[in-house]
Amino acid sequence: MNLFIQAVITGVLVGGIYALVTLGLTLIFGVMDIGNAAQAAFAILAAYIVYWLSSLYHVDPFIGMILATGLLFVMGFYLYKYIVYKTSGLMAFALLYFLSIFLESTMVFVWGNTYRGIKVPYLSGSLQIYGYYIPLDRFIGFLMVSAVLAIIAYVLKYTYFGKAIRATMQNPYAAALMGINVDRIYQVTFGIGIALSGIAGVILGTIYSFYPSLQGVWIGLMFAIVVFGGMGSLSGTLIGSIIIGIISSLVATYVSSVWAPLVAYVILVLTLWIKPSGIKGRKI
Amino acid sequence: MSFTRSLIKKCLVSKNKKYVVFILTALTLSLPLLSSEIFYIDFLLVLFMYATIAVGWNIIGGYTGYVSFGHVAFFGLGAYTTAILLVRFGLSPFVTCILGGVVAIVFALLIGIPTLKLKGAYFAIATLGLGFVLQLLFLNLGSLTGGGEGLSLPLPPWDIKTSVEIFYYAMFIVFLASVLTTYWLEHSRFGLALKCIRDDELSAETSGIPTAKLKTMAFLLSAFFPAVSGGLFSYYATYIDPITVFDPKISMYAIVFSMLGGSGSVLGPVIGSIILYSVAQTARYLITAPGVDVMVFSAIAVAVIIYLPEGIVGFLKGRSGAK
Amino acid sequence: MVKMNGKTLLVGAALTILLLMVGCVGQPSTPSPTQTASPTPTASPTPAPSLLVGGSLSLTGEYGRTGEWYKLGYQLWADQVNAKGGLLGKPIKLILYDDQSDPTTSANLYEKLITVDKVDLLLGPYSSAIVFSASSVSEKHHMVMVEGGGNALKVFSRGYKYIFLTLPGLAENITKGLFDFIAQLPSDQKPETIAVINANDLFPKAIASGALHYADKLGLQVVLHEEYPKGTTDLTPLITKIKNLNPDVLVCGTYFPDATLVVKTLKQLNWKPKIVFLTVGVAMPEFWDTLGTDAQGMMGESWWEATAPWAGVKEFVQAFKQKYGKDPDYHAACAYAAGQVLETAVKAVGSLNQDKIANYIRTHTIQTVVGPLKFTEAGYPTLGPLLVQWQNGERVIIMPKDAATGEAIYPLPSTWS
Repeated sequence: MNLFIQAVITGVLVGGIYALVTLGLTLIFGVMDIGNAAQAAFAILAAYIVYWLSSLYHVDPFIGMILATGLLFVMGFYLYKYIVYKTSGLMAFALLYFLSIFLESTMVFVWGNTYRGIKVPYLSGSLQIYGYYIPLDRFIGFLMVSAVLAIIAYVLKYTYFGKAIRATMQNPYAAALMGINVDRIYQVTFGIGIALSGIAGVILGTIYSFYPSLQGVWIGLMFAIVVFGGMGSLSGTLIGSIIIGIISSLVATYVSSVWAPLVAYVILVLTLWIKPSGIKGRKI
Repeated sequence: MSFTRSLIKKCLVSKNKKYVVFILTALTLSLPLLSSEIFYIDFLLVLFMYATIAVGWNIIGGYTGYVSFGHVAFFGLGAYTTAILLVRFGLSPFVTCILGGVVAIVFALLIGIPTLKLKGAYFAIATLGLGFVLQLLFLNLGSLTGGGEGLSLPLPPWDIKTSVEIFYYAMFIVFLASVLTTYWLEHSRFGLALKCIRDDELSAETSGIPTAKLKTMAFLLSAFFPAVSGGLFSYYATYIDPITVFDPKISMYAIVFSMLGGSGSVLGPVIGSIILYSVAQTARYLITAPGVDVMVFSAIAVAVIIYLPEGIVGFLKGRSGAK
Repeated sequence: MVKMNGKTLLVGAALTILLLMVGCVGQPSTPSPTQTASPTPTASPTPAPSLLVGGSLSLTGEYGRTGEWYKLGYQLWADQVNAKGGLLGKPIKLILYDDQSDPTTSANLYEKLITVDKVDLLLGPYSSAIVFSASSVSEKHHMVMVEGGGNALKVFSRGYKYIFLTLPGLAENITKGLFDFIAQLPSDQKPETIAVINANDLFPKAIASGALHYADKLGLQVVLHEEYPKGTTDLTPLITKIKNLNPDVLVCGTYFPDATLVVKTLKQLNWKPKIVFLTVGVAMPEFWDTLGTDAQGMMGESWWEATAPWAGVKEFVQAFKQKYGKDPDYHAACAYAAGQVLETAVKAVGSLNQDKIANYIRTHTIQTVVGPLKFTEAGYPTLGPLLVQWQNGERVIIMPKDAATGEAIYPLPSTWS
């Protein structure tokens, strides 16, 4: 029982990390129906930026994170404005997929495919509650995802900008007729989506060691979550991530670690087969 | 500029192309007699391998419009089928590579039924996951596949020169067979139906084309050739492991080669393979820094999607993009 | 016009980022593209004035950090030979390629080294899986490969005749020192249970199978043996499971990244068995650099220490320090020894005839910085590794007793301070 509860705790925390990584992807998917295959590559890029800032100039990782996130927003904004807008649907997915490979190989070229880790000495160790261990770094990650989700939900629900996004999401043509600058909405959403991956990348970098090719591992997992949770549904992403996190953790605990990575893909295939709209998604 | 373009166009598009193809084939066949450099024969051999995968991919990705991001699954499946049959039962790889193709077809059938219902990016995502799933399965099922240790195949019984030549011709035959198959496809009702599905699946369905059946058939056909080349590769490399033969980059190569050359055409994937593989290998050996070859590759892929979505063949035929 | 401006902006942004990236190159332990790898002009017909020695190494990728040590060892050897007037009267030219830690890439590179660069002698790559794949090429071409990087039994059980190992023993024997240590403990302190984990790759598997064998011989109860995916980033569930079983000894068949991950995870779960044994990582100075005091008490194997009593070790350590400004580790020593083996054999044979070189190596004991190497018919030497433990930033030799430089910390405290 002890083991079971610890496994579930681990799963929930890991699920939180998954959700954080996937949020940006969900947002972009939901608003403009583009599968941003470069999401994970940007996350790793952010991790590298922060790694170098902290190991060369001793910038605190959390300050570095703010810088990296800002930089990524700008990159995402202009990337959409000048390149991605030319494509849509499948072609956009392919374009971004190859962009992710380009980013990965550029990172390999510049920094080598060596394992790195952002050191945050004050986050090593863990909290202990009723004899269960909650690793501090993952707990912080989980708090971050909660905060980010709350902010996004608030913005979408109560601000003018958020209402404009939701209007665009439902019907871009009608939104444009109502005077919403749809192009600008797309650019900003893309920027925010990429920036979110920046936050996620830095959190990831403090918890796990990372290397450029890791993006290939993450992107598969992220798409599994988006499909499972339902395209474009933020709450679906959170629920889906935590379910996948818990099942992976239980499989690693009770079956074997080598089978845990398979969980996400099995869920992906089953979802696509049985209910392609996912647990909370709209019809496709 | 316009002169060269019309010249190339003549070679590729006009009726004369039969002669061009004939001369190229003759040249290719006699190459091992002309050159004693194993390196160049090996270079072409691997080129044929990638071209075969690209040509196979083109049947589902180019003609049918279902863009598979996990075609490496079939390549790896073929490689492992052949390797396991050789290591455990001592069967000749030149026979069992066909069996590898059959295994890939069966697998494609199982996978195709649920995934081919999906459209566009969803099919791409599903197939992207497929490559990862197979890699994990082959890593974990150690008792059958040798797991992460990989499988070591016995060395071919010939001296190095002979053995490279044998594999060279074998790979060329597979390559030729795949090209001839697409040539047939291009000129058959089956191929026409596939193009209809690509252009407008709903209309195709309403005009009485059995889309589900034809899509599946195209998927099976496209799985076959990569698997056969994978089987030959495993015996040629004499060592395979899941990380190598299920490398997602192989799927990527198939897509980029086809797209640059022109997907949905007979010679597109071939032309794309020749150009890009040469460029990538040159980049790799001139600049030994890691990652450069892939960088060049993916940059070309991005540029092609934006500026040349119909590929070289499409551009020359002037279907579009010839602004 | 506006559009043009935007494009310029985009290009500008891209350039800035690229510059930023480039600015970071060459900073802390970034593997720079190998300098020695300047590719020779393809197959020049004129006889090369220098003697070409080639190999591929994992300079990037998973084993990038470890591969770098081999490069340093090979280079030091080549420089020293050249300073003494070369080999067979010709200066040595090293051609080292980066195989990106990928077995197939390595095999291709050896194919290229042999058929295009036409090298005279081969040095081996790093890690068992890569040696496994690369040596099938060298064997095909009947070229001798002396390597210090792949010591799984599987590499040497294929009946190959041209491959030799300078790591002084097989991967299966790595845990021998640990079990010798356990065997000599007084009976009331002896551990009773053991858990073995390993990455699902050739080399870690060999370590695990060796450990299970020794554990069985000593009558230790194996409470768990499990594999995890190579390159994993999270071991929490596995370590949680082990903590629950509470074994006295934990043996991990790891590479560097997962070795540090195990220690980090142990700390997060606030638990330690009496003995933690990790392979590869422990013998590297980076282990302490990365983990700091968390590395205290961790045990591992070392194939070589700078304090080892073999001939030439002092001179080697000194020269290495002078050239690179840091102490060599065992990988560098094994690489250097691989060069020494080739050098000795070629000098004795007086030609580059590969069959004669192989025959000489197989039939003679060769003095190297990793000890006097006598090879079995299969091509591996039979010396064993040392058992070391991190104590306050130093690696202390625990076993064998006659080489020991300190007392073991045993048992480890069961919680982290």
